[in-house]
Amino acid sequence: MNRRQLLALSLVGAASTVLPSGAWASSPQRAKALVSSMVADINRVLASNPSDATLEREFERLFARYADVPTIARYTLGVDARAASPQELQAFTQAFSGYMARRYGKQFRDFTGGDIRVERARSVKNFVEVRGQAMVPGSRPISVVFLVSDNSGQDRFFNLYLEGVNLLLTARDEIQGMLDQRRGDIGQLTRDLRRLG
Amino acid sequence: MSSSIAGFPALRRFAACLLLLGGLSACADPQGATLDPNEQINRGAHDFNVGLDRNIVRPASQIYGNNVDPALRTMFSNFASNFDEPKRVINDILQGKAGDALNNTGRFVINSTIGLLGFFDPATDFGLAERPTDFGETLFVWGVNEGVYVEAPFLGPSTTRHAWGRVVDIALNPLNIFAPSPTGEVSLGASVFGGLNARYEFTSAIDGVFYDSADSYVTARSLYLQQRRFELAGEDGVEIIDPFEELGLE
Repeated sequence: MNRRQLLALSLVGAASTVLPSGAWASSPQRAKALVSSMVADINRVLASNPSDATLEREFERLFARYADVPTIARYTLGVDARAASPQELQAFTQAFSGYMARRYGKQFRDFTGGDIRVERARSVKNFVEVRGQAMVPGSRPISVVFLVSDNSGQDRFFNLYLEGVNLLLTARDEIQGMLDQRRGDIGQLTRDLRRLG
Repeated sequence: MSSSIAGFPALRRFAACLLLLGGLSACADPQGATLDPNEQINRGAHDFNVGLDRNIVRPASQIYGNNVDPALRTMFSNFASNFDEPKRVINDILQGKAGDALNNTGRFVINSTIGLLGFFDPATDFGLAERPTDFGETLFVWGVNEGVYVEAPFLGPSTTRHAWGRVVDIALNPLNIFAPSPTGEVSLGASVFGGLNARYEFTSAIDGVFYDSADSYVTARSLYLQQRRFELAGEDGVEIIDPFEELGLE
């Protein structure tokens, strides 16, 4: 893989914290505006020259605030989610969010000095797809796609693609692998996820 | 840019299958799926690659990155990458992509001369940006299917098709030395210096896969397959997911 793809890989996590809430994304115009203010949010965090621990904390806070974490977490469990109780799902979602923060928080830093140039936004089914290019110093532009929905009751992004790598699939592959090793035991997976990463 | 050889897809595909008979179980594979029948063997190779990274590649890249000036490191990477251009031109021609072949020929000529043997990259400033390709892509263009997932010692993640492509690419550029990155060889420079430089510059991204991921084998496989499919097929290689539909939330 080339330099641009490596960078994209490190940004999968970084960018997944960032869509601001508080506005409707159900129109392409507003979804575009969301991505623009998202960039401001990332850069605000990075401007404070944060430590790894701070980045992880910020990541988890923003992830909870701007991403549709329950949907993402549930999707990663696949069919096994159906057998889980609401309490089990909630505990898993929390452990998953912490794991994501430890897994990706540090990589946030690779976006320093970066910007996202939004190219177009359009409605697809019942969500909005925002396409653009991530411009990061020292790299060629990176193709970025955000999928935004208000299905959770608020505008949240539920998936993002960087150079073809998407958050939902990457996280699901990872969680499914762990679940297989634990014979589908979501409780065990939740306990292990709390200390992994 | 598709060419005269594009006229006979079935024939080309048949020829490609014949050519690779025995090695490739190709010529039929479902899109978007993960075929990994040799997972146990692959996991052995993966453990080896992680050990190699932990004990040699990562420490060496840290020493290199912390002691050598970034501008100098870029020059060494450029120099190594320049040796890849003839290989790219050959593959561009085999793929029938005249524009890419001209682009990469221009790069090789300009960077080898004005760029002082390839240590500098003035071609990019002249509008001839890097357009990487490899023999695995040539096989893709010829209609050979992906095959199964393969992780080999030193080489890192691959597929049957990509692995055979690498055999040919190594022959086309003997300078190729592969640093096992989690998502395939670091072809940025494809040399010891290029590989170490990339390993250093992307320390956190690669550490994230190798050491922060709960199952680094599965993560590397997922990332490699997604990226490679996007690289070759563009949007067509990307899986569309609607979690709400799948979860029955709408």
